[in-house]
Amino acid sequence: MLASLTALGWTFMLASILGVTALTFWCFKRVLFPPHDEPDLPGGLGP
Amino acid sequence: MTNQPTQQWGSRLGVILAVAGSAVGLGNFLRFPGNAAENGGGAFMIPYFLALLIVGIPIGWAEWAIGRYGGRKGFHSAPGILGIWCKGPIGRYAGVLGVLIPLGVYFYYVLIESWCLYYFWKYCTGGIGLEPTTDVASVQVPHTRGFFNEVVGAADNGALFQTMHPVLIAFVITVVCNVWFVYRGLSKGIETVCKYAMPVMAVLGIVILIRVLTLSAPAGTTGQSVVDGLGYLWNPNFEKLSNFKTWVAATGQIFFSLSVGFGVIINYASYMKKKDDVVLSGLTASATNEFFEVVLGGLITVTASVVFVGVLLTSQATGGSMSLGFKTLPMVFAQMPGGNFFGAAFFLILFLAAITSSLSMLQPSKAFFEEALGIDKVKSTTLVTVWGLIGNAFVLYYSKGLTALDTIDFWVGSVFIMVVAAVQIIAFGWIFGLERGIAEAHEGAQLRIPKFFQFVIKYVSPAYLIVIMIGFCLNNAPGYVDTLLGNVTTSPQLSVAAQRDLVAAFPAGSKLTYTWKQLGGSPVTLADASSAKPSFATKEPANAKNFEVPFELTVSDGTTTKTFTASAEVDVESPGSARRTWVFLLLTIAGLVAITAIGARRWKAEGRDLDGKLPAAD
Repeated sequence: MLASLTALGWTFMLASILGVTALTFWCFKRVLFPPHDEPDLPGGLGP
Repeated sequence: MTNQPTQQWGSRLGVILAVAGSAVGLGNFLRFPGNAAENGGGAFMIPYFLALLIVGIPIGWAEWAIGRYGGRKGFHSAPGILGIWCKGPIGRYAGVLGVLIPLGVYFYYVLIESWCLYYFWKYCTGGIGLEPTTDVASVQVPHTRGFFNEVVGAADNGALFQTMHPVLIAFVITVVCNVWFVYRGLSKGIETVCKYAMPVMAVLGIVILIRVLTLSAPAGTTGQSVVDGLGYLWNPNFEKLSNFKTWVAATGQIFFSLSVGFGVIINYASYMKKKDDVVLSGLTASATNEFFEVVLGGLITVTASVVFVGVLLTSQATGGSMSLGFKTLPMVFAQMPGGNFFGAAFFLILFLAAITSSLSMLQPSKAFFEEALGIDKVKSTTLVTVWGLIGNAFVLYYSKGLTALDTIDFWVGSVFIMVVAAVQIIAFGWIFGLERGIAEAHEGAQLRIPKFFQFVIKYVSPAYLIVIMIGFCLNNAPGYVDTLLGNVTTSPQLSVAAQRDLVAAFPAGSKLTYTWKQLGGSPVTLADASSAKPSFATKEPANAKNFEVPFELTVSDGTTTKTFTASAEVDVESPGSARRTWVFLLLTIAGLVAITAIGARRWKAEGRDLDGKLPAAD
């Protein structure tokens, strides 16, 4: 028998969808509007 | 060294969308929701997100850094780049798999892409001939299955050429598009396509999503609401978490969906500049893929399917990508108001998702041929086109039962991917050295890879990956090996109408007994004969031709007894097809190994740093 969406089902669905959407928007915001005052982190293997 | 001008991406967003476009494919919309529904619904998201954190994102970061560093050393192919990271010929020849995977998957993927284009065209010109009906199981199921079998030529080898099916026109158009955009190069070809295709897919996906979330089933059909459909997919079943198969399925979904270990990211990243940010780019490409998978894939297809065709047909379709997309959803569109429009929009999304992926499959081979053979882009494009067409023709011709396609998909598109990913993460964390690897990844990065992930990359990802790889092979490989050895295992099947009658005859949770009786043909011995799904083994005979074995099934709950007819289609021709496919794959591998050996000699003669002993240039 098919159960309608339960409270736990709502929780898992909304947490997954909102989490993924928020991460995607945050990433694109950082890509499209990079913070200007942030210098490159030190790193790299030299010349 | 070749005199080719070095290619570069036009913009940072371009490379992110190209990698995301490569990752977003049919599996996001069709495989993910079925996988989730079968493996615990909402609870599936626990191992799924865990796998994203400890396998998907870390190996992705490693692959981006590996590729960019290789590019700075003047290499753009997996054999060249992994030779540097693994410090010798073992990595170089393991890298052959990084060329084989995209090329081998292209052999069949472009066919699936042309099916999407053909379905899109059919929906633009009036649909696939389905009428709305209240008896979906008896009327629409045979029609959609028959239509699909004709499109793919499943009835016989060479069936598509015998009938000159119009899907061949869609195939030609698809191949021409792929070759043209790859020939145009990274910036003008692949990047341009992805820059337009990805937003179009997102917008169309959101339009369809809004439509699906406002659906209601027509009177007299399933009686299910959208909330029921969402419940089918998202209600958690925590018991499934104690089953190792759930963890394998979740990790496999993450793995194949993100395209890590596929040989594409390593090639794409090799065209980035030293100051380009691989950490944020890798995370953004992964997040974009997850958006398409969890948000659009997780809400659209299975939900609509449950509302219009019910749980039984939906659950039968969720074993793989094709059944849900090409057989079940057309029934949904037939029942839905404005179904042809939404059908066209849906198959356009699938086509765009597929072409952004297939473009990425040609580019690594093209780069490899230019680099190893020292040829220009016209010759490399010609070579990759011809090689691709030979593979396409092989899969197109050996279409019976889709055995050739399935064999390449399993070995090349699943098992080899895990091998390449394992080589990459071990090279990054252990051979090249974690500190050097992380320093390389941080070059030009706005984000620092957290210390936690550095531990994960070194210890957790390789261990987790190897455990899952063994689990995946133990779960899936025996059937494929058995087929190669000529042993065919078959289960009798009830028709969909009979299954519907069976479900209707007995209340949910009834304790049922099953009695199977063979009605004809050479006697077979059923294993697990008192279960709902028994099976029997057949050894491949000489001059094998498929045959059917009829059965009668009697089901009883102690008070009610019902009898149904069933049949088993024994596919004794599949072992021959699987072996032919392997011969073809081995020839392909031999060709790529030979080209790698030629390339290694050239690179050595040119004084290039084959084994990563010198520092990289800027």
